[in-house]
Amino acid sequence: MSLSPIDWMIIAGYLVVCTVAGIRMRRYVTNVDDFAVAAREVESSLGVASLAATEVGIVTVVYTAQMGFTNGPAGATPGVLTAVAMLLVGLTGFVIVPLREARVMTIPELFEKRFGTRVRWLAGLVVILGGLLNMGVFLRAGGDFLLHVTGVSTLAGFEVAVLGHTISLGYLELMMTGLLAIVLVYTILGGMLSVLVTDFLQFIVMGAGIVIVSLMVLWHIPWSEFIAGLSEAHEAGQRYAQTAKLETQQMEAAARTIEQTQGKQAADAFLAARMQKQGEDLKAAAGELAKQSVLVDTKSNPARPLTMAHPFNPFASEGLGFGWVLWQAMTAIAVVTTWQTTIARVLAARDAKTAKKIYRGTWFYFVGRFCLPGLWGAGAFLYFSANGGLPAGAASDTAMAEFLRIILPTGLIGILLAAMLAAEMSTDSGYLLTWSTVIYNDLITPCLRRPLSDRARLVTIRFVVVAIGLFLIFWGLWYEMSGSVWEYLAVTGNVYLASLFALLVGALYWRGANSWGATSAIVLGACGPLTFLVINAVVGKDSPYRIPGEVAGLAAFGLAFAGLIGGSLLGKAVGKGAPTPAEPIKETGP
Amino acid sequence: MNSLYVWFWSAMILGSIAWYAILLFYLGVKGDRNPADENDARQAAAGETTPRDRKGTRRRQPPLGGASARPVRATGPRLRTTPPIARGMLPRGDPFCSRGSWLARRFDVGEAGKFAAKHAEFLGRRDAQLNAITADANDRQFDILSKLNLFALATRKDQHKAVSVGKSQVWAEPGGLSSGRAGRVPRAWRRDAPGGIL
Repeated sequence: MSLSPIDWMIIAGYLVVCTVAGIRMRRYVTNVDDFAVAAREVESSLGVASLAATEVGIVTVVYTAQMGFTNGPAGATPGVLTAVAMLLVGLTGFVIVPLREARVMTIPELFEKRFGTRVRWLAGLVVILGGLLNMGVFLRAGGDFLLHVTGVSTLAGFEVAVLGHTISLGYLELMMTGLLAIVLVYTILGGMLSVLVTDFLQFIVMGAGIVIVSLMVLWHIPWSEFIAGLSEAHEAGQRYAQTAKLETQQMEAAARTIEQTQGKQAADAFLAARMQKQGEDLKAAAGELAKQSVLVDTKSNPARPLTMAHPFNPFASEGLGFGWVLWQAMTAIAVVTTWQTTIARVLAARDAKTAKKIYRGTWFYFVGRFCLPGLWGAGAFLYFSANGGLPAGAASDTAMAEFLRIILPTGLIGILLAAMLAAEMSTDSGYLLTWSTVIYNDLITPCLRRPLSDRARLVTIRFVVVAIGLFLIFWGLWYEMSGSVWEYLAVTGNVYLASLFALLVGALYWRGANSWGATSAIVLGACGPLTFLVINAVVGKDSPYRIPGEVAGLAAFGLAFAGLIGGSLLGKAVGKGAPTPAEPIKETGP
Repeated sequence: MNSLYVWFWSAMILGSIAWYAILLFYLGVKGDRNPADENDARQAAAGETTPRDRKGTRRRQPPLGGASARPVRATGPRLRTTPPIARGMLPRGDPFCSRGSWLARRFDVGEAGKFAAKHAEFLGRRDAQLNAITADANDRQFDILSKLNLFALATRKDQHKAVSVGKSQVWAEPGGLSSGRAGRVPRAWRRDAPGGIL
């Protein structure tokens, strides 16, 4: 444990202030409008702070730092693309202006006005599926980071005897459950009002923490050394990759010979034994390899080498490339116009003008959201290359936490932890509220024959928040993440981003769109990412049948738009699925 | 080409640090300039009670309830002018929510106070609407009485029902108009009033 009493005091003080502030907002919640969209009274500054706080969680810091660790600054390309998309939407009002003027609470509610109740329900289901799967890894990633920073093993825990049975409790699970409980309490009581107030506090703490830590990293690794070190690490990594490729080719040739003479089973056994041996060799030579800018991931079994891809050119960077950048560009546009947690601020804004202002005020924040944790990740790579390699148990996703634990002095670790707790809490509360609003508004409400009373609505939506919290505890803490965290988040997000983006554009800007097209877009758009998740979970890590993330993502967008256009034209041709705009309320009486 | 990328990412990273620092200062320390708040401060210093709008000019009271309506502010956290019942709802001395607290000031319009003011505004508006309904009922009553008087004068019938305008006896009559039954004509009147008048 590397925390001093000062660090603990900073963390405890922050937690108390944040919780009290959140709980105090409960008195202003009288109906669902107050709870879900803060009665649509959010001003631009609060909107900017809230959006910025919600969109940076520990998981954000973890995956952006992981991208920085493996790809250098080029790993921040999604952030730049999102910022550009945000600015364009903020200037033009594309999608967000008509969406805000529709005075809906969620996006699927808008679809009901245009395509009918069934489409609304289906869209709500897809939103929830993508959103909850996406949010499912937040707790695990956050807990891993916090324990690595504090220097506690992620496997550490203690045993408790209850009624003669011994129960093992892990620190990670306990810590994240406690944190979630605090978030649940103030989110349930105060809804969006609590989220806004705590988001503001969290924005201040988190922003200060991010700036201070970034300056500390640059203090430790001066800028000129940082740039030169990344270039050298990339070149050394390229040389190592060439050698490793030759060895792999020789090994595969030997395996083919064995397969011809002794059969496939013997060849597979040979390959597994060689891989294991290679892993052991890598572990043994980790110190020497670090001098050649090759780090060894000892967390995976067998151990594998980690090299720096092209740190500045995303089109030439290994693992990225043109297709990947294109997919990220599409995802960025879809995120800023469709992602429910982002759109929640648009819908809560005082008017469309304020919504645009929030976007214009936040756009560059998204560059920093990727670039600064990316800087920490890249700094971690350089630091461990120069200091004998990664610590035991560290990998690309946790190297940054280990690095910060080493370089930050007493007091600053407390600020960093308070900042990261702030980031995690604001993200969790924002997401809990958003998804519960969608479940209540788009899945439960359309099934009710009679509208609920205000009190019953509030109770229902609060119950949904608790249910999502329980889901997070069980799914989030038991799901084991493998591979890139960002790729997982992007693909699960694409389950609904692609289809809803196509649908939203169609609903707002194309008169010919109808319910047939809407249904086709939702189903086809979700197919790509779901296929990716299922197939990649079934086949092995090195299988040639694995689907790359960019293929799944771009296919989702293509299929969604094709489904919208094809389905609408087909529906029109057979005379069904005509647009069903909401009937205007007719005046009655004399 | 490579150096172009290096310059680009250098600008992005260093610019991000600067942007975060500026945004923190702007939102966390400085806050948005809100002309309405400045007007409030000026107004309080001058001891004025009539609300001013964002441009600083005196705002006319909304004509919701006519002269009898309670003063109601249309927007913003103008707690001084909210009805007493709403004032009771506001968290006095609350470090997070009270007007003037550092947190409330940071929310550029005092969000917390604003939400409370929204309720206050609602309650005020409801009062005003009730007053409007009452005034409307009085007008209708006035109208009815005028017509009755005219009818009585014209036909010389039911003159005993005619009452002088402005000194209504209707409120005192059993089954007469009340604020809860505003706008409805008492049954006895319907029976007694000549057809075609009402």
